[in-house]
Amino acid sequence: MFSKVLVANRGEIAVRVLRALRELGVKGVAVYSEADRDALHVRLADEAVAIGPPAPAESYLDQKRILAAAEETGAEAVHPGYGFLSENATFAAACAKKGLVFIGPSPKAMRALGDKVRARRLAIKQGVKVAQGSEGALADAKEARDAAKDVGYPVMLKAAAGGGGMGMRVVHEAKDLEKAFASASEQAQKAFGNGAMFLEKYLQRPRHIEVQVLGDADGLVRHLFERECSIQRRHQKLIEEAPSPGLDDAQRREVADRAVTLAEAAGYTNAGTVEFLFQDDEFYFNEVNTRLQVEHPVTEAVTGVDLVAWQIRIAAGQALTLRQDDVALRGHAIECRLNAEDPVHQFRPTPGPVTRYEAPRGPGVRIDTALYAGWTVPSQYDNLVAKLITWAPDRDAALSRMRLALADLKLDGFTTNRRLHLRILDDEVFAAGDLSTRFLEERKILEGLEAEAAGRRREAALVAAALAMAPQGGLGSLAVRHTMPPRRQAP
Amino acid sequence: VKLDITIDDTPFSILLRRDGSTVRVEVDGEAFETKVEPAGGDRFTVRLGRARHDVEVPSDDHAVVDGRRVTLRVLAFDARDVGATAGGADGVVRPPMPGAIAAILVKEGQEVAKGTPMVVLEAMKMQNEITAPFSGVVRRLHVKKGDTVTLQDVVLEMDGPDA
Repeated sequence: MFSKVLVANRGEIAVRVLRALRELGVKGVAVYSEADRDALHVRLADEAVAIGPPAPAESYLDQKRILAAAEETGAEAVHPGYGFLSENATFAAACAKKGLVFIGPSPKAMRALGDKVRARRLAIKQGVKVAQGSEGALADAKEARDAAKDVGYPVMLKAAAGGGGMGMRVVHEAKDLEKAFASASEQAQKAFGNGAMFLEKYLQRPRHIEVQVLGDADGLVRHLFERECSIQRRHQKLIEEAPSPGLDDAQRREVADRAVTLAEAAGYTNAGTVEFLFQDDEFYFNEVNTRLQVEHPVTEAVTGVDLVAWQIRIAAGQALTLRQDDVALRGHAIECRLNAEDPVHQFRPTPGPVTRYEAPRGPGVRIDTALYAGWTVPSQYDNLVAKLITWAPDRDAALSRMRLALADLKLDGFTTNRRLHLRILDDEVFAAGDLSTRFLEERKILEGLEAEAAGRRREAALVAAALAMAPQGGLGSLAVRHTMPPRRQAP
Repeated sequence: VKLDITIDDTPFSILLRRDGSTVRVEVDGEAFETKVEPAGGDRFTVRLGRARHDVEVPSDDHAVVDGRRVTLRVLAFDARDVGATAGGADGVVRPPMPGAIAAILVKEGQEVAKGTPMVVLEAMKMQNEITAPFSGVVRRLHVKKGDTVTLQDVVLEMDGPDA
């Protein structure tokens, strides 16, 4: 086992990885930008190294500075978390060159699977079904038009190097194809330095099903069943759960087997996720994420397996002693991603001070977060501020626990998408488990949320109007108390 | 009067102006014209449009609206009349959120129509446009590309019909 590991990330995932390191008796080194001087991951680490200005390109994405921090502290390995450098094969190779272990798959496997065109080819070769589409990358808009004609509209244009919904366009008619191709390709070129595009038949109402895999250096690959992540907004996952409420046991085994086949063929090591779209009882391979996923805790909750600990053990050369028969599903888990954003104001970002933070408690409740009262959520990074995970013996009970946990979480100072989550959880179609990636539109969730917010503003107006007139307990007494030094906050 | 309160843990930023029994309330930018009549003690009848509501405000930690109890917390209270400055109507434009200036789309002296994008602010990997609150002239830019701004900073000042 390593004696010291550097965590090349920030926020809740850095906190999560540092926790796993402590449990394994390994020292953890944090890196931080100027904007994260007071961040929780810095406080929880055994050592912390400043790596530069707030801009990600000059700190968390600066490979040289991170490698120098590892060298300076004597770390033997680097855990990249998710995002930032986690899927950067060049960085993984640079680590190896410096004698550092990159906690993740080999650069070769990352390249083979990270490029969606190559991953799609590999899937076809292995007999893993993909959505009907172009053979490989499309040379130009004309080739795209021919491929789309073969497949039939609507089609989905995808960037080979895409991620997070970037470089993706749904095209319903031939006349829109050329323009969509140009803009998606340009966006991908700008964001990923690779404008290569391919296209697939667009599925109208799929579920998003993904399989967690772990592989070791001896070529052994195990799966930890699936997660369903159909609740998304603009290709960003919002709620994830395990197991999927939409699969029977035969389908569950089938999709897991396909994921293992693909991971084995790619010589995959460490933790990874194979994504599929599921529609009309058929799985279509989507892509592979060659890293730890944000939503890994739901898998941990239903399998009892610590994925981050396994990532570290595998990277340290230990054999994957987990037998497939030992991985069993127990109960149901759900995760809500709390983001610093305002769903009733076009999802604008809401970075700001944390004036109050009290975590929800109770059996089957987990919160992964870097929040603490007195901290300020910085504006330079991702808006994910906390992941709330609940587990219970069955789905209904896990959903009730989630509703309670969301209500119990005391978080003041900035707006989050909490009400959006509550609205989804209260939806009868969601409760019935009839999910698809179109859920938010189909159920008019955002429209409902807007109406709810308008009602709340109206209620606030009524209260404020009465306060304005109240002789006692109203504005008269407030004027006295609140213009004096602030009184102590009630706990 | 400016009032920041939470009702059932939802924060609201409120501007109040009272004229006799008429109270004009602006909640997060939405205006409500109410008539408030005392109904004994801490109870009031608040008329909003055609609807009449019973509102009770016995303390500043809870209120009762049409029989429903809501928790109330007063976060900030400013007795000065700041109604006129809402939404940059005085020509001082501040950022709607902290962030970094990604682009400046106007020049000093430039005429802009209401709603014209003036500055692009980047926060949490998203680009947000700051638009002109009214039609007028950009008098002074206080920021340059790359600057980091907080809610208190001034992005630019405008001359216009109201300023």
